[in-house]
Amino acid sequence: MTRVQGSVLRNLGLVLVCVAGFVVTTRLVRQVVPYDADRGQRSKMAAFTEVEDEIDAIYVGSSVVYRSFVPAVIDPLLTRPGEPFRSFNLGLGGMSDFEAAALLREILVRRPARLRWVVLVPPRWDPRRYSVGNEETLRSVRWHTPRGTFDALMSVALLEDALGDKLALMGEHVGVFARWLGNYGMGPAIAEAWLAGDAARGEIDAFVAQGGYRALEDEDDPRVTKRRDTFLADESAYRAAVASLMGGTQQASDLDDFNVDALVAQRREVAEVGADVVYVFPPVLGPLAVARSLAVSGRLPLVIDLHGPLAQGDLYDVDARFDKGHLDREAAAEFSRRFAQLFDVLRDEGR
Amino acid sequence: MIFSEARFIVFFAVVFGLHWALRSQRARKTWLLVASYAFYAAWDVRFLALIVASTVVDFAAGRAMARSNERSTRRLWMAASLVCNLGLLGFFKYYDFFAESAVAFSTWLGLPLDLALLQVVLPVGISFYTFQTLSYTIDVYRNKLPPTRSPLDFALFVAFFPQLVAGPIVRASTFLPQLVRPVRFADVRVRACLLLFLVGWVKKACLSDQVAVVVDPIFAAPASHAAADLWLGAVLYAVQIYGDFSGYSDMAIATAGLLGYALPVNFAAPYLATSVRDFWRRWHISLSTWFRDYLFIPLGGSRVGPGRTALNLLVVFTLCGLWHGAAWTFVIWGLFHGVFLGLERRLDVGRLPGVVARSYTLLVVLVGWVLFRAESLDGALEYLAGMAGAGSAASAGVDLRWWLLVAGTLALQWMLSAARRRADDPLALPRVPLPDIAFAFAYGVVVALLLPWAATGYRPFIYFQF
Repeated sequence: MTRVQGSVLRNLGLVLVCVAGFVVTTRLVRQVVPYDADRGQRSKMAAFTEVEDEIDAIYVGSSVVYRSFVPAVIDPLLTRPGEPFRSFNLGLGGMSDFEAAALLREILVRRPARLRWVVLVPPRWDPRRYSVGNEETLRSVRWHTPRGTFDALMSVALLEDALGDKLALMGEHVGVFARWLGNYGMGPAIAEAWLAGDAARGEIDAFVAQGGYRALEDEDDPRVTKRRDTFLADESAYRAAVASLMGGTQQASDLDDFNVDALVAQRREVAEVGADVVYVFPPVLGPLAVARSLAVSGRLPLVIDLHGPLAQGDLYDVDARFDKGHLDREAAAEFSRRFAQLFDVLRDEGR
Repeated sequence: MIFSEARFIVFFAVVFGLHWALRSQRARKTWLLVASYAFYAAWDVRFLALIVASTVVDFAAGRAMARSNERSTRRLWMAASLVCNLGLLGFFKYYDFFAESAVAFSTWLGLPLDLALLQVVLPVGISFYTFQTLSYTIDVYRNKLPPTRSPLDFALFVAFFPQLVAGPIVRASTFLPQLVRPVRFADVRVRACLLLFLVGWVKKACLSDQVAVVVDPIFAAPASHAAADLWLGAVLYAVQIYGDFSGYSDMAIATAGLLGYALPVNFAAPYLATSVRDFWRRWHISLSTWFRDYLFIPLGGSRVGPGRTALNLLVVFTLCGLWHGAAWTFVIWGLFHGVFLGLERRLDVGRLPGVVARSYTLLVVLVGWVLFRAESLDGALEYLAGMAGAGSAASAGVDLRWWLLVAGTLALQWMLSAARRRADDPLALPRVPLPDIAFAFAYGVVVALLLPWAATGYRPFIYFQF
């Protein structure tokens, strides 16, 4: 080895040592980044942590999940003599499929002792929908782990968009990944969370008691009220959307741009802790074409179908809705009863 | 591409790696020139032609002046260089400003002119590289610098990417000799460069960009802010522009240093100055010394009578203001400083106690920054009136955090000033008593601890617009 080669190797070694110092420290700092600082999220996770080893089923997903699954209704219906059943709603407003997958992964790593069922709305893995105004939020950064970013990039690659658009979207995801990697710009959030202290005890207790569910009627956020007022002010638009859904509920879609690998990997991860994924088609306004195609192709083994105004007409009534996307308290309870009945059958079949 | 972006780090890693991997000095310089042009093209490839044109004209002018002993011929080439460089600068930067001003003035006279505005895009860094190339032709014309024979050296001097878009303004007499000597990695003060880059990054990303979110809305609507808020806005703008520009300079000096080249000191704790004159010895030193050597002294400097000296100062600082931007706010800002510099020659502010002198200087500088930052003269006057208590808006409440940040900025300046072992060497930083392996690990740790404090969102350097 020449002197120059030795010098180069030595300097490369120093670069590696520098990178090691960086990686070790960013990992330590990441532990104190308040990724759960969003409204209600910290309390809900704190509540789940307190009861996680008693939980048989979790519901993970967006506000559709959050405002539909009522454990207080579901659990008694699924409890049998000597065989208690307890579930927890981990839904959160605006949760994308990637975020849900990351949250699920975090929970599976903890291996909750009794977890047997993971209830999900079939994912779309749409890498565009996550980002509307949320690219810089803590929640968006949170799921841009190497694995989450990889899934997003694969989903982008499958899109039928122009190459330039796809590269731009990939760049956006890589940029957020870089923020995750270096905790870039997280200092003020860390300081604020530190000053704010722990989540409110009362809110944690409420989430424990309600199994993570909270009706939209109980929210004091003025934006929620405004959303309801907007819905009530134009019921005809909602009725028209329901009417157009009538003819399309059974339509299928091709799966060319669907990230099947991510779906399979998610099911495998759940199976590794001895649990199964149950996919629920909820009473939403969208046609769920991708979900139906997945079901037809056999990629969703356990499905509970509560979608479509033809079969679930009363859940689509204006009276059953808090707003156009969410059930109100009574309708959520009714949805939960129907879910429990179907789940009970599916559970027996599973045995 | 700016220095505080991740993609610059990638770009620089490639440039740095190949630069030192090449064995021949000529190959290294060629590579740096290619990289510099690529760096500039990343901003706007169209304006690369301007740099090349400026390079060709000034190189040719230098060679022609060297070949001729005829004073008239030399003067002709000097004039050609001035016309070409200042013509480009004038066209791209000042045409619309002068046209608008002429239309407004003629309308006021009642003889309205009809001049079309061109609304051309300002090429990034044109003010900087124009002054650099002018330093070459002027020095050659004055026989203070032998003209270079190497077009490669000259092209690299003009386009060297660390200082291409926002300085420091490097004199040909400082840089060209460095291109003749071979650079060796063993001579690179790696630790000092890495530390200075980090200091510059902190100034830009953690100081300047953080306060911008407070400053922008206050300057956007001064009438709806109370006096306390307006003072805070002015003080924070002082922090912003210092962090922005001196941070860029630090990163430029460090980047050049890692490639084996030295750039001059550009800032020396300016907010610790004890007079306006002292401020200009500490703020954007490469520009103020350029104006001193190429304009103030040729005008007679301070060797003429007091009245003429004051006039010279006003001329120089008006042009200095105009250099910063094509707007009356910049002109008035320059004049404002010129007036205080003239006054200080008559009044001996050096005899003031330190605290008083520093407070006076800071006050003048702060008022100046309001003129500098305001969107218009009316806006500046409205802002200054509000600072004086003329407004009626209620205070939004002063957040103690921002004042702590201001104190931190002053402390940082003091520390950097005290730590530098030689005033003329920006890389003369204190030695860190750690073995290389511990230094490398610690550097990684410190970077990881600082990244969370960077402001999110992209903000270009303020000085790029000049």
